[in-house]
Amino acid sequence: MWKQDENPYREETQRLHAPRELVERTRTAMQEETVRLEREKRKKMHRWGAYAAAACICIAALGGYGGYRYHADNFTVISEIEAAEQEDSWEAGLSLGKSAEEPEEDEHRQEEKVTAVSGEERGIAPEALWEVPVSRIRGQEVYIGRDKGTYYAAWEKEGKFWFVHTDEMKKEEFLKYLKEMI
Amino acid sequence: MKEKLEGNGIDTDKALEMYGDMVYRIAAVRMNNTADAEDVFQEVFLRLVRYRDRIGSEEHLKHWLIRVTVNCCKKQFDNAYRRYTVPLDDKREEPSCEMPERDDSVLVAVRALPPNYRDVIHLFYYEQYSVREIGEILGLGESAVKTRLSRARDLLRDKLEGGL
Repeated sequence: MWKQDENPYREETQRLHAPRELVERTRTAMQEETVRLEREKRKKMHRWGAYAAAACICIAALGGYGGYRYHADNFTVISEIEAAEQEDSWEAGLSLGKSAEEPEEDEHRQEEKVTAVSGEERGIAPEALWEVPVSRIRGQEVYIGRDKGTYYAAWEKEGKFWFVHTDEMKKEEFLKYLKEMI
Repeated sequence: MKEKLEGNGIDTDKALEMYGDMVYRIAAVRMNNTADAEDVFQEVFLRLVRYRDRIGSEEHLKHWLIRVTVNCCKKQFDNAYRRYTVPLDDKREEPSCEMPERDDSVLVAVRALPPNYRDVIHLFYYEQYSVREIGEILGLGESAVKTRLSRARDLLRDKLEGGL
């Protein structure tokens, strides 16, 4: 449009300069913006720090609780006893009470704390107890249940069915008893 | 004490000194008054402070500044249009940019072009970018840049020859 050696647009535009006052005003605004951004960044970091700390506390608490539950409920911590399921599962759907059929034979109390019943029929123990996940004590399959403070166990050995229950023992004590019984 | 504005390789303070005039020229050619051009100028450098981490090199910085200036001008133009639009029976003189005011001035003729044409004329004749580079900076295809340049030249020729 213009000749090779002349560019009047460039010559005229070249005379335009950003006013010094505008540059200084902008510089101040930029410094303020930098400070504001730094402050925001710090605030964000603080916030993330707080979130991270809260998350760590939650993880530690949940992990600790989970570990406690695992060790508290898993029978594998007792040597020689393998429990297939955790204690909580004993309670699922159970409405245990006394045996559906009152046994007529071989009822006796051992150690005065546990009521033990044996018989020829599976019905000596409540049906619900036979449905809980099976546990193993010295390789013997045992159905262990709990209803509030009462522990129940049933198993079949050499063609004979056993049903024991107690509300006077703690879990460890009851398991120890079962270990001796089986 | 003045705080050094540095971030990820980009010294914003230095950029203000080095590219201040370039940004101001684009804004002044694009906007119709000094106040708007100054607003654009400030906005561009404030954005530079906010987004300096995204800029990798000197060349990138220059292109980024031009693109942001053009975008800010568009935004400011829209705002200014709303701000300064008045009913026809209430028309007043608007403050004009501090520029040479000769009627035969090329700058005056360029400022009378549609805004999109001013960008390509300025980048081509002042910043001396190629058509391809202008396309990259403005996000346009080469043919679009060529079309705008050609139409802008025709309009400019008419204005300048008519003015003589």
